[in-house]
Amino acid sequence: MPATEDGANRLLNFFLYGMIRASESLGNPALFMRSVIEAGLRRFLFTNLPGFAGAPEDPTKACEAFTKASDESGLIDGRDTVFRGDGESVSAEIGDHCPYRRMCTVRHDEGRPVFCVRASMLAEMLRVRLEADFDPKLNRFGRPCQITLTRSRWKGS
Amino acid sequence: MTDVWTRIEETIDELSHVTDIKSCAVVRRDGLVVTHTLPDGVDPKIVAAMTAAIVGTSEMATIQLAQGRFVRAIVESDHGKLLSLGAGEEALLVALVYDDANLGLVLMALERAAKQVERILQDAGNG
Repeated sequence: MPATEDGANRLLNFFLYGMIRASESLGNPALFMRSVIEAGLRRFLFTNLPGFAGAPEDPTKACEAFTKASDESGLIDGRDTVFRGDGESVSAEIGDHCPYRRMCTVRHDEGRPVFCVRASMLAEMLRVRLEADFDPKLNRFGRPCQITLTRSRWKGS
Repeated sequence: MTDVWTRIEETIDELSHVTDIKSCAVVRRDGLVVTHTLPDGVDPKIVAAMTAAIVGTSEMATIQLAQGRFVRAIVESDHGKLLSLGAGEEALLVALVYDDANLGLVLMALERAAKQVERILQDAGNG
C-alpha cells in the first residue's frame, strides 16, 4: 500500500494517465476507457457498494445515490458534487475533491482532450443498473468541472 | 418521425439481404452495439468492441504510415471475410461475408449502407 493518501492518489493518476495515452496511441481511447470502466464497474458494483443495491429509476437520483454510496464507502469525497436534471439529461458540477483532478490537470496543461472518468463512470452505471443509454460529456474542465449525461438517440423508443 | 434506431435497423435489414453477406451490424465507435443481424451464438457486444478496435487501430496505422484516409479494414480467414468501415463520425458498419463472395458487389452495398447510416445520424443531429 502507498504510505499516504497522496501517494495512493498519485499512483491512481499515474495508471490512468498511462492507460489513456496508451489507448490513444492504439487509436481508440473511447473504446478502451469505456471497456475499462465497464469491466471495473461491473465487478465493483457487485462487491464494493452494498449501499447501492437498489438504484432509483430516475437517472439524476441514481447518479446522486451512486455518488453517495461511493462517498460512504470511502472511495471519493462526494460532498462537492451537485446534480440536477430530469429523465432525459443529468447535469453535474464536480468540485476540487475529485480524485482524478490531478490527471485531468496534466492532460489539460498538455493541451490534450480531458477524459472525464466520473462522467463515463456515471454513464456506465446508468447502463449497467438501469439499462439506460446516456452519452457522457465534459462541458468544461475547471473549478468546478461541468458534465452532462444526455439520453442517447441511438436506442429505439 | 421514425426514430434513429428504427431507421438504422431498416438499413441493416436491407443490407443483410444482399447475396454473399452472412450478417452485419452497426456499432458505435466506442464499441457499443446499435443493431445487428449476427447469428445466435455470436456475442454482438464482443463483435462491436472488436470492430471498434480494428477500425481504430487501422485508422491510426494509416495516419502513422502517412497513407492518407482510412477506407476499410478487411480481415480474411478460412471461412469468410470481416469487412469494417466508418459510417460517419459516430458509427461503424461491419459485415461478415462468405469466403468466395463477390467483393465488388458487397463493397458497393456496404458503402451505400454506410452513407445511409451517416445521413440518418446527421438528420437526427440536425433535428
